[in-house]
Amino acid sequence: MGKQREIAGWGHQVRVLTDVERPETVRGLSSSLGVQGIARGLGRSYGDAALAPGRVWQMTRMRRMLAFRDGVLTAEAGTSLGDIQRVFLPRGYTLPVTPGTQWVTLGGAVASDVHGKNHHRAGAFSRYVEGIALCTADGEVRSIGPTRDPDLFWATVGGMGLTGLILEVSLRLQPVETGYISVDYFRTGGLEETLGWFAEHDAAYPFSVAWLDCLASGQALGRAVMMGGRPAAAEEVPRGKMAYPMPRPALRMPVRLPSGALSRGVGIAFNAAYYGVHRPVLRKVEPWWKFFYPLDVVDDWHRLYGRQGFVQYQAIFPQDVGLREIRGLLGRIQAARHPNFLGVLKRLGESSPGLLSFPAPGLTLALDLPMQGERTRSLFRDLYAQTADLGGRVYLAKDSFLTPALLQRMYPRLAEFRAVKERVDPMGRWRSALAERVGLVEAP
Amino acid sequence: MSHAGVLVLGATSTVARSLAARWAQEGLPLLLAGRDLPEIERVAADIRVRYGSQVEVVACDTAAAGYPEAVLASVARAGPLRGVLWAFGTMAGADGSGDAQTLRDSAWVNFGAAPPLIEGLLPLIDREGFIALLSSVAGDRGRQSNYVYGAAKAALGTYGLGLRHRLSGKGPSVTVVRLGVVDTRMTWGMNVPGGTADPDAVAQAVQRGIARRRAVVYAPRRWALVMAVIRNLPEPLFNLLRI
Repeated sequence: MGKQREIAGWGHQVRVLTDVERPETVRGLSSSLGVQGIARGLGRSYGDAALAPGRVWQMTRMRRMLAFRDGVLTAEAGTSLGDIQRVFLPRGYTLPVTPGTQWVTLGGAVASDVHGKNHHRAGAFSRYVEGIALCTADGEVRSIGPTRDPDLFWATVGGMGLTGLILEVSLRLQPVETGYISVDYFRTGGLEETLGWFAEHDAAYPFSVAWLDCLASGQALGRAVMMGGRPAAAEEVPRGKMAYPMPRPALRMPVRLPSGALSRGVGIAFNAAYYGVHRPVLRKVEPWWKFFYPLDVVDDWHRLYGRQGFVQYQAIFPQDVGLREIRGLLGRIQAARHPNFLGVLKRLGESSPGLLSFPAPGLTLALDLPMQGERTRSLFRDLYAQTADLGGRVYLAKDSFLTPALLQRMYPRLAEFRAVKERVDPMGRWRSALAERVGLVEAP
Repeated sequence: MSHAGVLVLGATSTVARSLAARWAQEGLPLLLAGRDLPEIERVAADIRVRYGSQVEVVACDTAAAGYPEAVLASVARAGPLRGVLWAFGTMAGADGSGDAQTLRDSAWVNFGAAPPLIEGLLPLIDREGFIALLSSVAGDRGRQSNYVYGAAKAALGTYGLGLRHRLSGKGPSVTVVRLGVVDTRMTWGMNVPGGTADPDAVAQAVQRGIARRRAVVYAPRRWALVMAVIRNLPEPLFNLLRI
């Protein structure tokens, strides 16, 4: 029996009443198949990737760990990355790649081919996926991997759940000595210096990211707090601390703030304060959860943005895009006087072979903006057009505004993806609101 | 081999799974039993991977011809037990709407199948051990939405308390668990005033109640109060409720 529930993406700017199934057993899951829809994990994709006009299979109760052999974990798709970290870190293993929240399921991490602070050296999540059990539209459960039906495998990683329902994932974990990261903080004075840091120091750190102030004016625009991290060795663990620290339960965000509470003025002040509290140069040894998941300390932080919710712009630009172009983009957001809060800049490494995978070599820029209706839509139209003109693409897991024409321009391997989709799901059974919006499936 | 672990009957139930994981963390070996063996193998694998515990799987179909003898035989082979959890249950026909077979099955799975198996298991359970039966607050007062289910769960509770009486001072302690509405696949899709309880929090309360050798455990606890009110509601008032 399904349940009519109002669900939303992480941005909560759209809410939809949907038939939601939450299977707990394989039998229960199989008996609920046979209608159109999409799988959903912990609902961290920002837009409509895990919303569907048909049925939504919320996979969070399918989270059994099935085997751990020679460093490879096989687990059900609803297992969260945070869960894996809690079980395996004390045994000296860690996730090879993690996005900015631990509340992502294995299925979601595969479907979005997520990347993390180590992408410039370690690549995307899919690089460590050795196999997937995929339930395709014909009801078959197929075992696929980089060498078993590779076409279907590379369409499934980054494929936004549209090739089938991901049941199990085999992931190679990474041996690690401690649960700490040794982080070098470095504060830059403007965008030029920020990009200069990436050019000069990025390769030296396994983990790197820039928290970017996109609201500072004039020469200070694009000033940043750079973070370069590497796994801490046993002797670097702070005295008296366990080698594998565990986070305390998260704080809750009990109420939704009124929309508009996070105004441009608040954004400017917050960004300036964040910049200000960081000393120009600093080395710190931090627990994994603090370094990788700074926002996870508050559950439901999307409520800060009020009833209208928020949206994210995340794009990747080819390597020839640099200072002038990024400054131009930030300038457009400034000129629109649209409030924005978190800005993140990172250099990515090699592309993943995933047909719809987001990462590619170059700079990726991510910005959170409160949703303000037409004003926000028109800013995104402008930013997306710019992105396409620069040869970049936007991240489907974050997207709310992409159109079929833009998708065509941004994803050069789209035709190959369509061919696989046609082969395994000719009737378009696996479909999300995102897929219908951007034309990955035919709208009904 | 020597077992001295916990036999979980109905190991695919959400609360049973959480309880099993908790006992595994305490270091107890497990014997997981139920009808859907591939599913129980998954639960077993999960507990082995997470906690490195010793977990075995036993087939137990209350509707099978050899019930309960076959189950008793395989459990006896495994060795003596520290505890037994009865977690079988079905909501099918709960509101009296099923056909004759469904109604018979409800009485059997929710209650009837328990005494033959539990009585047979008694010699295998540690004197210091425990028997826990998952009953339900639905058994506290017959209500239109679930009285067939509730009747059987009430019987299970009465059986448990009687067994506790009989074994007091000379055998394992028996705990009757009256579960409130827990967020499981059984209740997914139900509209529950006040919401459903998190299964792991419920399992924690049940584990504690069993360890303290309590006769009756309401989990979550607030249901004790809710049911006290409902039990004592005068009928004209009660009849106005759509529960």
